Amino acid sequence: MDMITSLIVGALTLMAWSMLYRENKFYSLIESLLIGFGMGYLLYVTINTLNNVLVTPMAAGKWILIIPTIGGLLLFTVFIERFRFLARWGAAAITGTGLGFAVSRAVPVQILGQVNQFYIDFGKTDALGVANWLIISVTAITTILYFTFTRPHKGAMGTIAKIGRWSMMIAFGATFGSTIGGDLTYVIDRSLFLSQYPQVYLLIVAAIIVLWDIMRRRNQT
Amino acid sequence: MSWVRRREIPIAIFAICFFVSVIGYYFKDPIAVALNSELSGWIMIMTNIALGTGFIALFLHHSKKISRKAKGFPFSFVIFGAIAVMFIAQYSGPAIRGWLYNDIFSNVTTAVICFALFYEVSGAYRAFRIRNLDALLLMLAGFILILHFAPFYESAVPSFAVIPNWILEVPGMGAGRGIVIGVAIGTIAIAIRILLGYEKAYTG
Amino acid sequence: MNMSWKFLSDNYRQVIFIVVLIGCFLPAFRPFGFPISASAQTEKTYDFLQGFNKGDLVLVDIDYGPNAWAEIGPGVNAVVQHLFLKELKIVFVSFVVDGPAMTEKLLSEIDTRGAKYGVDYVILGYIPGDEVGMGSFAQNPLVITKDYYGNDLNQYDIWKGVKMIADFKVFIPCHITGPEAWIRQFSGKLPIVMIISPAALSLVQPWVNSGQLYSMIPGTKGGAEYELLLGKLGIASSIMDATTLTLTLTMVLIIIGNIVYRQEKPGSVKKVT
Repeated sequence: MDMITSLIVGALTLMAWSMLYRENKFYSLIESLLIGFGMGYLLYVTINTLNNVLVTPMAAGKWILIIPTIGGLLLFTVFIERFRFLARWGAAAITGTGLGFAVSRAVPVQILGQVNQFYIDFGKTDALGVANWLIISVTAITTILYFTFTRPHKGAMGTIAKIGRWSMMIAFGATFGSTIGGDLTYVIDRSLFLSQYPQVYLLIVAAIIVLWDIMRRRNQT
Repeated sequence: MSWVRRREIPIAIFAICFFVSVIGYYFKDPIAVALNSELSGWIMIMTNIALGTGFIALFLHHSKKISRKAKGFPFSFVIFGAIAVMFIAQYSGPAIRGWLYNDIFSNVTTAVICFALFYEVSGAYRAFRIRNLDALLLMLAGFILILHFAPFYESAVPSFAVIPNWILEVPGMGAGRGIVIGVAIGTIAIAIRILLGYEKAYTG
Repeated sequence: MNMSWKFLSDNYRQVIFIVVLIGCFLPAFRPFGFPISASAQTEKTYDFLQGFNKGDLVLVDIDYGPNAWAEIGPGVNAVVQHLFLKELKIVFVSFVVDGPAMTEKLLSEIDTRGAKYGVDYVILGYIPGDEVGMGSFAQNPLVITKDYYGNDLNQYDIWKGVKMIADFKVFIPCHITGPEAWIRQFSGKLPIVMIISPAALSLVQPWVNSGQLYSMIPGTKGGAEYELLLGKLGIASSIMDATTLTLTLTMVLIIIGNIVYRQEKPGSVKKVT
């Protein structure tokens, strides 16, 4: 990255991080830039992909594609109050196909593929393996049963639901800890960048601006 | 023409698309497979067109903001300008495209996403307080996994890796398996509810 | 409650922000060189890819945007670098809008060893439709006729070797969401090695355990371990020093949080109901 780009990116990064201090117009500017850039790229990919999957085949004679084109355009009627009901037709087609793909594979892959793992060959498994299998099976079954709300969670059902809740506490605690470990890389990546020349000098400028603002606000109160 | 507004039409469209997808997967009949393949192609086109609705919604919202000179309306001009700049840059060659997307957009997006960590750590500071057994389990599992992601400890003392790996591969995985099966059952339940007309969100 | 605990209790957010920033910046100015070691999953993935032969076809799915780059990008860079070092034929595909741009970013950051576009690798671009697009591609990759740049795929040598999804030796999806959609559509057709966000670890374990997923690389830590095995330290490894320091400080903060909590409400441990 050349020096000018580094300074631009450094300045934009510090403007984004100014939100840590307090809400301000620098952050609003960054927000607007990112929304605009993201949408600009989305527009490009949409047009590019449409050219590949729709325009080119239609130009080659596949006129039946006019049907999904109309179906897709129907989705835009969501912006017109009087014709909003037509958008549901397009949404129904997309949702129906998506759920069809998901449900058809969910049974063999998700349900049967995971339920298969409840089977264990005791002859080939040591004591620790059996103990772990027992814990896995109990936590899995109690987690599924925790989400059974048609019966009250009392008595035996209450105990099962409690064990399910404990299992999920462990899983969610592990997820939360992992999430912190993973999201840390964003801050470290930017810190590594800001610690390099020449953008490191922008840190001094940012510190001076923050101190000046603190003094200004203190004098005002 | 009030019949076009009836809920049965989107439910029927949903049902046709749903069963064509399911039958095309389970039955290897050439007609079923061909129908399924053609339908998937159509849906890919429709979802691609649907991406445009986000752009239209953004355009209408910010145009209204500018016309009413609502609070923060100058930033709406920034948004429109940024859309134009990024769109034109994509056609301007790999150097400009790469500079704008990789150097500017990607890095500044990372800077904004940084807030997630700051709020997660302050969330952990408050959430990992031992109030009861549930909170203790949450805190212990979270604490051990944070240790797992600091690579120094497992490198210095290899046996440290046993506990977080056990948590991930035994109780964590058990709960994960339960969630995976539960999600699959929930997906099937949603499909049945829509087919029977109980889900008004999708069909009105 | 004494003054220092009260100060912490009232201003915990600002204290946390400053502590996290110190933890991230300090190693940037003064590297500690903390050692790292490879985990079993990373070694399993490395050994699997190392076993491929020159010219084998692999499918890499870049399904993340710039909002996720720092979390899994370094891991993806390390694995794809390995693929180029092994001189494999790589087909890049994406089921999210930002995927193709992230693919170009990835290729600009690694050493492609003089690989030629169309011969050694090709970018198919964005395939719309989410799971429908995935399923359609998994059933028949030839539904895609043009690459990301709008060129006919049949002109490329690499595409001549693709007739069905099983022609690929491995499928490497890279994403930060739950893994179900990819596994539903591609499982059973070819081996899957996933590069995932650490947040999805609990959700991915059942699939690894059942064998429906061959292995996984979790985030940048997995990337650093992979770089170690590859012998080419890169950005993932440079992040690990600060990771260790900041996570250590986070653990200290959590302990302090519990002490402050006890100071606020003595005897506040509630009986489990």
